[in-house]
Amino acid sequence: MGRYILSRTVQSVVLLVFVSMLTFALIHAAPGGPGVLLAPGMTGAQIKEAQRALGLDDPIPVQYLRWLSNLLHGNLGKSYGQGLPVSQVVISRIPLTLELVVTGMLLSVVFGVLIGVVSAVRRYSIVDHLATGLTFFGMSVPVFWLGLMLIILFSIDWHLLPSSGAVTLGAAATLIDRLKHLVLPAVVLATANLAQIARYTRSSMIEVLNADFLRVARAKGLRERAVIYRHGLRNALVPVVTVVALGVPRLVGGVAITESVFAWPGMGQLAVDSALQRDYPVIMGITLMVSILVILTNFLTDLSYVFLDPRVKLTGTR
Amino acid sequence: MASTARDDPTTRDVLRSPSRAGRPGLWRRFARNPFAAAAVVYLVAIVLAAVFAPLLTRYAPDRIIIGQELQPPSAAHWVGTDQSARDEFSRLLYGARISLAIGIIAMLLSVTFGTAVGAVSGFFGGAADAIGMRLTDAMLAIPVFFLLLAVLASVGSSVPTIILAIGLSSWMATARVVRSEVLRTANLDFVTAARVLGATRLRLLVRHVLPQAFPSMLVASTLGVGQAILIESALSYLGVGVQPPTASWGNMLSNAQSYVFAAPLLALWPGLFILLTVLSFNFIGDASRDALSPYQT
Amino acid sequence: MSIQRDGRSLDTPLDRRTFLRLTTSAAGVAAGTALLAACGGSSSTPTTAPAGTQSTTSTQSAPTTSSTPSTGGTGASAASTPAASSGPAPKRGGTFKIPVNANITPWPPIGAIQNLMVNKSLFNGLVRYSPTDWTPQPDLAESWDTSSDGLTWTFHLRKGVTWHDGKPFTADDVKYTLGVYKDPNVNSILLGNLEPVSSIDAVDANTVKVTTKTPYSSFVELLCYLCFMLPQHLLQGQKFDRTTFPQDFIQHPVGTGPFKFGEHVPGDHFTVVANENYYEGRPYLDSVIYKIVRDQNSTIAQVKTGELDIAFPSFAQLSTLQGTSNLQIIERGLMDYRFFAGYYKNPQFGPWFSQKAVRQALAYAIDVQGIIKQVTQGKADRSNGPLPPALKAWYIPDLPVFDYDPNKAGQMLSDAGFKKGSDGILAKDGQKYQFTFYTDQGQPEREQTALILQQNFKDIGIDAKLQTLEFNDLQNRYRVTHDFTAMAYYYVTPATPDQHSYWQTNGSTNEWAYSNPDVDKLFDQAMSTFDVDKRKATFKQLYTILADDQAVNFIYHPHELQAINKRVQGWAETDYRDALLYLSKVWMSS
Repeated sequence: MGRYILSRTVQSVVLLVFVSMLTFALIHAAPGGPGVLLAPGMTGAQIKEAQRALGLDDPIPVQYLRWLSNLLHGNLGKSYGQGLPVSQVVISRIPLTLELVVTGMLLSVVFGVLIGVVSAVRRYSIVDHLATGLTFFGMSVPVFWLGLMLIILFSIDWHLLPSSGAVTLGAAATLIDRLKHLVLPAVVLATANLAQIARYTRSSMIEVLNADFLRVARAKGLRERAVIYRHGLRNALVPVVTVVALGVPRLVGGVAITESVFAWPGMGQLAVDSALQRDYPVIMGITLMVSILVILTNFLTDLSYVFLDPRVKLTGTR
Repeated sequence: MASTARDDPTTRDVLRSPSRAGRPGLWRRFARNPFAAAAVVYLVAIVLAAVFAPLLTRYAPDRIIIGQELQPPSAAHWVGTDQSARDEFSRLLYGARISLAIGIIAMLLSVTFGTAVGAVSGFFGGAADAIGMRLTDAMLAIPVFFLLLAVLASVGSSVPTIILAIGLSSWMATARVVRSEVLRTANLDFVTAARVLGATRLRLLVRHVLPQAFPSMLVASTLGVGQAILIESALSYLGVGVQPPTASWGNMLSNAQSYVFAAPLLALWPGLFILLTVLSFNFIGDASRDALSPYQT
Repeated sequence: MSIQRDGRSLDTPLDRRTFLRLTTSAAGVAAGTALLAACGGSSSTPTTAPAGTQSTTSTQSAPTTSSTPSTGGTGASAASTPAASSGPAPKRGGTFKIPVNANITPWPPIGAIQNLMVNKSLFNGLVRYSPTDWTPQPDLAESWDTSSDGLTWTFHLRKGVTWHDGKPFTADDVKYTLGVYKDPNVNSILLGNLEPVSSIDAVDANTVKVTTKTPYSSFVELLCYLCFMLPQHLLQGQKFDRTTFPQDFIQHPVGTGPFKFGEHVPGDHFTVVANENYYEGRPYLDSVIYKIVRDQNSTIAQVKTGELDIAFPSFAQLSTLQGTSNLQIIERGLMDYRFFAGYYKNPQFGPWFSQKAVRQALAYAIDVQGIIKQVTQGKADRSNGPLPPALKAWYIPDLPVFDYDPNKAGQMLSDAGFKKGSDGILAKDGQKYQFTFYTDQGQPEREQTALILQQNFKDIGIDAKLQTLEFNDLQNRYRVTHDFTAMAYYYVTPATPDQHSYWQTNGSTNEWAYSNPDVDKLFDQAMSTFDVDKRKATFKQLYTILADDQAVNFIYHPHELQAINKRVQGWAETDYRDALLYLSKVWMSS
């Protein structure tokens, strides 16, 4: 186990270097340069001087190594636009994004698995068709469009839920207020992922229900409910866990849209802002932190197989 | 890394019959699904409309007809005009070209690349496998959408850059599926037999192993088209999708949001086409999976 | 030396994608025609008020403490402050909620629209634009005068002004601040404007003397532009550059303005609260919240529901505001002009664009009225030069005009030797009149203008392709590398007729490389002319040449739209950026 964790850690570090190199190269190679340096009121000569002062006219590999060496000293650099350390800028946005992503993940896993299992067990029933229709809709609808439709219905027409932000401005913070703000963005964020999980759970469950060992279980005279939940579900969940894990980067990517639609002041908006403004240090900081998050999730996922599937053993290499 | 169920050839091949592709009745099984059949009809119609767009409308999609913005549907403008006084029907048709092209070409790119990585990893194993799968892991660990955003915001969004960006950032699932199919197939009796009979490795891969993975690739690619179209619309919403004046369903929908009260129909059409098209690809993907799966009855 | 240009246009708040851009910035300087576009809620709105009056607004009489500035030999004349009109008495209390589109960094040297919107409530300049016309008004400087040779400016500071932390504001702060803006390492947005300044001296605690290398008659007009005073005692000794800001200060900014720093939740909102000790007296409002809303549709939705008190709709969004009875829609003039310009030194396009007859032909080919009608719904003025009608004091009404006349355009090009080929495209010396021109992405207004230009050009046989470029890419090509053929673009400029940096041969913002010796000479002459009438005559001569020359093809001056809640009173009758200079006068009726 120790050796496994060590080997995974080494791999993860290599992975992070690769990811950061790729991102760094792609954004720095683009024409134009950081937006803040092109601020209105600056002449061409001023812009050139600002680019030089930031070392942006050095070759990209040199710039990357400088960034990497700063990183090794615990320094992610400073946001070009905000003038504050990247770590401070990014970390301040993490809690709200986590709140959204975790809620979205919980919603999608709980309801996704539930819908998937029910559809599989009651295959071709009305419930199954309904669930299928809903999940297909969920997978096919543009996220931002769904968000705006929900805002129009729930906020503008029915005045039930707030349309933007994480809390009501100028009001005392209450749990109810926070939850009300959380509902629409979390639902929108969860939709596509929920649909995906439901589909996978359904097909995985169907496959397992037809599997030989369940036939054996049935043949032994176990009650159908016991067959399904004690033997079937656990086996069906193994591939589902993979889908859940694969859903993490998608969910994290989805926050960029969801946060923009709902003016949720989290990391997704920061990512959009810094990408459009080309605040390179912030883009790199976000990429790094999100990659770490995703790698950690993958690691936990692989660990979870051990508990879900007794046949899986951890070894140093795959 | 963990030897996991998803990659373990032994956990699955016992569950499946050795030969799934090419069994008789496949199309019949597929066509029996009314949704999938309808989806095929719809997609053929849309593709034809996109291809023959110039014959179906007399307006160029960029032509501004001064003073005619936000007109309701009429004989002259079948679905009205948009906020910039351009014929909406024409833009929908030409937008279909762009959106479908993005979906299909990005998918081809991603399936080709994913299959190559997956096949090489699974078949050759060892170092090739290690490199291929680490690359796949790396791409899966990147918050791809952020990367797309950052790259397109920097490089600038044009149809080719969007296709490249989507294609090269969505091949990982295909690679994994193909790899596990290849691993599974490589141990099947008839492949073993072929190997014993002296088939070369490349021939084994191309003639015997890959065809076995074909159904999975097919499913992945149909789903991929829809995903690519959705990604383009999301990118459009953030301002880094296909850039106007070129019409895509994504940027049309995104622009129409501004007029959702004044001209709700403007948001309806591109939204509906995106939804139906993605839905169709999903139906087809799902139906093919069902049709190809041995345990469906 | 240069005049600073503004950044994103005033149409920027109109578009969602622009809202998503942090780069969005600009500053306006504009005041102007106060036309009431009684659009939304026209049934219940009051409305047609004479220009210069906002019917629902009972304007407060302006700075009570100010004495009339002695204008020395300058062209700056003190405009009469708006007369107090009858109406309900102002009431204290309430919060004013304003949308901004991006993260806020309250550090004046870097500019950017969202920052300067906040800066205007926290800081003061020495002078500021009048809320009714363009003239410089006293702010922290009570008055100013010029030496007879025009090289020395003396500013007499207001006494008894304190920083938010209680320390007195003095001449040393002014000297320090101008030094920061002038420091090449800081690379501030005002660097160009202060370039002619050779020294800054604190004569005594309340007197500052500024010396310029050459006569600089527009100096005070330019000082109105975003030149916010900074507290020396909190900043001295710190080093800044384009991306290094004083970290404590930007997290807890201290100014002299009507509002003090309250709270900042990055990415969400920035709150300022009333400054009890403001020199004009405590503002009526208790606080102002700058709410970050990126999605333009959301700002419209929120101003409708009252979650915001003001929003800045696009022309296209006017229709969505119909039937909103709690809002008043206001239209204001701006220092903003849209143009089509080629790069004179571009190897392909330059040789064509360098011919005056070709530029004039292009001017005839452009359907300006069509563009105004289609792109701005008629809410714009035809442009014949950089100065809009809204710049009342300096506007030159009878400039050469090139009214839409495609036949004449075709004739002129034919006279210039262009002949139509079999494909309908003009050609000369075997070279087809074909080129690609640019505008920036995500700007529906500029994009539509460019599309109509493309059609207009096509109608006379010019094959122009439009390419929209990513904003940073375009800016870099346009301003740094000059790698462009032609652009459909815009400028927002400070409210002064002295626009030399755009048009003089070596002007620092003359990106299109225009060169005309007469224009060069006249700008020099205008800068050393302090008499208002003589200055006017010089500029008239100058801008007549520029218009006739079609140095660039001027198209239109857009107006700005404001959708403001009817309970907001005392909102200055000018474009929103300058109205923010007078936030202390705003109050909320119940």
